[in-house]
Amino acid sequence: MADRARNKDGLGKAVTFNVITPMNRFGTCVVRLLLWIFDRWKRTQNTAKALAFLPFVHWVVIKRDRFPQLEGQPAEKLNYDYLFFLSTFNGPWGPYIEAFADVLYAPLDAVWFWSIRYPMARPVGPLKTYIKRNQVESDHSYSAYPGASVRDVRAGLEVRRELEQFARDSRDLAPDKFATEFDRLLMSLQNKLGSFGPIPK
Amino acid sequence: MFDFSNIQGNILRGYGSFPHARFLYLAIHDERAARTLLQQLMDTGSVTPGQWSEKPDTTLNLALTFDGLRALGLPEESLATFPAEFREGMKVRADELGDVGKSSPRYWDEPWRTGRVHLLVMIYGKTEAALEAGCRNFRRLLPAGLEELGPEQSAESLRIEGETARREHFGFVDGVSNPDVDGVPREAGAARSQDIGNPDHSGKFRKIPLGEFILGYPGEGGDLAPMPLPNLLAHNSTYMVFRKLEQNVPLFRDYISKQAKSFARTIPGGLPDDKSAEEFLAAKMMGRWRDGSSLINHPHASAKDISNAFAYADDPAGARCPLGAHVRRTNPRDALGFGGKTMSRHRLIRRGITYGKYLPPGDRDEERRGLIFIAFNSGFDQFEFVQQLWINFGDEFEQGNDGDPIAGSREGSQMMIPGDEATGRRPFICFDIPRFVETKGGDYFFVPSLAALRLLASGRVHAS
Repeated sequence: MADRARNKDGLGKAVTFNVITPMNRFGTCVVRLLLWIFDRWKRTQNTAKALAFLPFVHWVVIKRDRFPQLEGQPAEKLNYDYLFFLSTFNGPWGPYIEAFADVLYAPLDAVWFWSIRYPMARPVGPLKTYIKRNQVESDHSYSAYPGASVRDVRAGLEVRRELEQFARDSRDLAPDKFATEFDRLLMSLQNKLGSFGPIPK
Repeated sequence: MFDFSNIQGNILRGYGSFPHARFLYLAIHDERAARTLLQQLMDTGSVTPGQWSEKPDTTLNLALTFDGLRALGLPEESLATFPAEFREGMKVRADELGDVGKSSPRYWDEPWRTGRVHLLVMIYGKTEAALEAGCRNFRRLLPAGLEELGPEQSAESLRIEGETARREHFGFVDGVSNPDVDGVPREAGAARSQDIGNPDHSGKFRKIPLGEFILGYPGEGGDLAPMPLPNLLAHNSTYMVFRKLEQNVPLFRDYISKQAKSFARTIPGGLPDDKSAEEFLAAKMMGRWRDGSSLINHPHASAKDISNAFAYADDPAGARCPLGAHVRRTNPRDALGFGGKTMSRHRLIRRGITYGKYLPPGDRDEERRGLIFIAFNSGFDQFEFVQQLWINFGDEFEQGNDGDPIAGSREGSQMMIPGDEATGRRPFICFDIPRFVETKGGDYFFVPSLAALRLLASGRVHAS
């Protein structure tokens, strides 16, 4: 149950996904450089954004001596730094991993290659096994819009933007001209008007 | 290479030339009796393989549920290696599949509602008489210890005005876009030659790896699907989805007729006299005209062209084929981008056959009719993905929560039929789409290879 976003409206469309993998010191340096490049050149994120089933993807490196401790808790003696992969995705787990491996294998391999015993993204079977072994379920996850997928949000924003523009531009139009412009608006938004809500049964 | 003679028939090549079928449902009460039956069927060469030197008058094929494998005495260590969906069975997975409301298992037909079928016997005949003889011959072999669960399910290719037609009850040509499988030679005949694989980087189509449909071979991505143990049981075997889908033909026709009046008003100047808004609207919902011609190649009129050589990338807004149309959702080709990579692992081989009499236009009756949906895949996640995310849910097709207009599970769904700037046709929304197709039963089956059937008959299965 903990692998899904949930709040007062129940389970959301987004599933949480956390993978924690150990890295050696050299790997940590390389991964930090790669993540800096991904962050600096946004174009490198285009494919991930185009996948449209990813509300959120984040990689973070935690060095072996930087893990937080509760008050009075002794620091761990760790042999490795750790790469945290934190994500939410819409849809089932298996196809999510497969799409990742099929479409994003280059950045996945570049970043995860430095993790201990990473099997490479393709073929996807060993990757799935590796992820299962290193995956940590969320204890709790909050979604402000549990009934919304990435596409729902993008569509909603576009509908609002276009409608606001239309409202501004159409105030003084004659009825027949208004009808023409309304048809044009409908045509531009025709594939953004799907029903919205929790995942249907 | 693989051996056709070790793979059961109707999987890689369809039984299109066997228009009569009967499905017998058996419960196994005595595992030794069941093994004896299997042994007899194998010894007499009764189980039809994927190829033959002389075409038989009847075919016979077998499939087992998880409970059936257990009843046959398969050891627990082997049973544990089957996929979770199969172990649970279709009834347990009803919610995931959208089998809710009147499609929920409590409304299913017998034997699906109260029992779980162990062994499914599928007999097809070239003629009704041959089918009768085939069923009689099989029943003669049936020992005590196996119980036939009634009622049997008859099915036959639809007959319209005395002629056998490859259509389903809503009137559409059926089974025209099965996958083209790597290593499987195409059969003669127009239907089979139209098969098509998955899109590649260059926008062309390539054949689909055998491992997407048969266990023991590499699939998309080059790896093997998870296989049950032992290997002899798994290799050349497959999984089958069997569903009895009832089609409410009067409801479908009434809805189309009612909506078509409003739809016609979105077309500048109205429709030409030789076209009906009903046909156009039904085609928009299906994604093909009733005669099978695609809306991509023939957006304005049908052309009796069942060519599969088309893609959706050059129709991104769905002006020709709506993004939410049934055939675009169930086989999106290149519509989802990324050179088809995100859809390539979700193909199914479909071998449907209709049941019930054809209802002529304008007629109404109380008879039940529909489709026996049969699909083969190397893991039930393939079928469940298509059913859950493409048929019952529209997110990947920019449809939000709106499901498939023909086969979706939601009552009161809606569908956008995009307008067309080239012709001036305005967008049209079909509101309150009823559920036209209801599930009346079914289950998940394992379809053993012929070698695996011999192994099961021997009773000497060990997981290692």
